[in-house]
Amino acid sequence: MKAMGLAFATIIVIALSAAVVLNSFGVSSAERYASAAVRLN
Amino acid sequence: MSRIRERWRPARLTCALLAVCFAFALAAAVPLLQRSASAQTEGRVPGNASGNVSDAEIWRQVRQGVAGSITIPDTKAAVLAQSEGDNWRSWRNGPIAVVGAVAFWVMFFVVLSFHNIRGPVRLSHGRSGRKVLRFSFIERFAHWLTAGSFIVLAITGVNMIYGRFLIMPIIGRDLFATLTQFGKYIHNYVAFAFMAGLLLIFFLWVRDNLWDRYDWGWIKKGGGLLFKTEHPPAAKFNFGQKTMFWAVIIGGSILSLTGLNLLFPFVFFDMQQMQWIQAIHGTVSQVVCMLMVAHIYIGTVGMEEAFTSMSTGYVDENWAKDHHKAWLEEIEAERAKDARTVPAGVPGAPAE
Repeated sequence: MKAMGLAFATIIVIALSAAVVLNSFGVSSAERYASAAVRLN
Repeated sequence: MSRIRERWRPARLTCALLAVCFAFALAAAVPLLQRSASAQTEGRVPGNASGNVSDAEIWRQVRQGVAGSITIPDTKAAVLAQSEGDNWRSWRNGPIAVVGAVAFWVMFFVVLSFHNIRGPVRLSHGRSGRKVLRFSFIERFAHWLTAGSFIVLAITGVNMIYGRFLIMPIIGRDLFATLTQFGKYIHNYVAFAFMAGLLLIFFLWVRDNLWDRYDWGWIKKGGGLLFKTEHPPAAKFNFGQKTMFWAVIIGGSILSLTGLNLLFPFVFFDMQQMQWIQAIHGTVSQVVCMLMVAHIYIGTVGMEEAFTSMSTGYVDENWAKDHHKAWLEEIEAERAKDARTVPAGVPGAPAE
């Protein structure tokens, strides 16, 4: 069960780290899609 | 008065003559003007904004995806209406969503039928009380890293396809929009944990998941799962587990690569290619979800001792004899038994 608990904690740590790193790039995927959405409708 | 009329008479005659000449000239020019206008428009209806080309024709071309001329850096903006988006949307909300849901529930009822007809796979000789280490700490960590992140990705991903039809009518547009946006961010970031887990399980287990001499015998006997017969011998992983391993590795790799392109859109692919990538991502995720129904069943209630192998790492020796006889013999032959075996009577998992 220790392995399971550590794995779930790691998921949270990796997800938070990814959020910090990706947001530090400045341009999010949401902005890229938003610029394209007008042409899809 | 009559003198005044006499004085203006020549002027009136001149004006009348000029009016008659102008009328003749105008009558002669009308056909020429009509021919000239017809040549310029080529029979099309003049428009308001486009001069001699009709607005309807321009918008028809725009609707068909004709690219215009732009001076801004984003070249995608040259296409105002991308018609392939309609095809993508109809595929996403049609075949991918419908077939995926049907496949999931078919697998669910197959598993349920198996459980009711065949029943759980139990130990053929009961528990021996002797425990054998099946999965090390790092193997279990890698499994739960992949499994835990996959479940989060599956829930948030399923919401993206079906939530609009199933959840939004219940909780309303605003709450659904907030939850889905939150779920989308979770989906984006937890994906990296899934990719890390996928890499770990690949390097940890690839050697044990290559074809070996026991696999054909396992296939011929159907793994001993369909009928209550003796289980065919297998090494650390049997053919069924190997199939699941490669399905997860290949399916997970496709999901990871397509997912990265969805996360960083238009870096490598254009609009239509992005739509294909999304369709592939959605389809493969449905297949992997369907397979996971069977995997979760056989790893929990479908097989005795299966869950403890991944929770504590240890299995009963009789379980290993039933399902992985060749693997158990290898362990015994290597004399690793002393280090890996826990004396009988020790309850549960040994301390790590």
